[in-house]
Amino acid sequence: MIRLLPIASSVIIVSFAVMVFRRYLQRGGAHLLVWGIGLTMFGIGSFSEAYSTFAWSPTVFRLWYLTGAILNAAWLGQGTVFLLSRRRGTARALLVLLVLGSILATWFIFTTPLNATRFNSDETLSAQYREILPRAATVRRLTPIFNIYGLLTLVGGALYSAWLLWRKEIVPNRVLGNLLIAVGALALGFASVLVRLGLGDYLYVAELIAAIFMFGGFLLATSRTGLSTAAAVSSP
Amino acid sequence: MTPARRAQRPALTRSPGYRLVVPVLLVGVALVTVVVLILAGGVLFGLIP
Repeated sequence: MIRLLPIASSVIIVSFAVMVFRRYLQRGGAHLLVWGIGLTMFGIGSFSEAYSTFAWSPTVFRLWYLTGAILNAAWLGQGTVFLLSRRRGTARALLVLLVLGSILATWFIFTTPLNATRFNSDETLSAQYREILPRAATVRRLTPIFNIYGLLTLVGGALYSAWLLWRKEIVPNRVLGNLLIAVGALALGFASVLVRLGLGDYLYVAELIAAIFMFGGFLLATSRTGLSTAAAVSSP
Repeated sequence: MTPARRAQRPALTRSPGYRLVVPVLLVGVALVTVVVLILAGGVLFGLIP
């Protein structure tokens, strides 16, 4: 089971990322490009978890921590900032900060020595990373900053969109789609906090729930079913 | 909003269940988000190890 969960998450997230990149190529839009990058990071994180249930690799562990634990939520949230921000300059300035922060985090994680002797392929990475990555490592202090930004922008943005469209009484598929995205992102944020509290076994389940809800929410929000009208509002 | 425009609205937006459940879910998810943000803040400021 421990092997199947991250594999299932990877398959869903890769399909999701391909769909978002394809939509970006058809329509353009910085939010789609940034979401695609965030989803690719989510996919790399899930793939790293799947790989680590078979073998140890310091590079794979570092990629897991970088993309799965630090960056993916913040990049997904940055996509939402581009979608909702009326001031392009603000969104671009935040993107520059995120890129600089991501470079810094990459440098820290790839220069931090790891304690590989504590690795056990029968345990989830989230349950054992505290033993592998030194407690005093600077990169561990950076993690909550990225995750708070990601949670605020991704969940907050989805809830704001849902509330706005609900008040206007239009496109209920986008209201419900945004709610699903918010719940999926929240599941991820909640699991990340549980990991910090020492309950790391729940992360793989939460990632699968997040992948299903966010992908389902995106499909619902972008569908042109009988739920929707021809009303023109910005779509994801 | 003209009557013609209002007539284009999908039936679901006028159903009592939709009108009631969506705000309840929005508030519920928002409250849990605040709790998670407080916990994440605790981690950031070293209050949670």
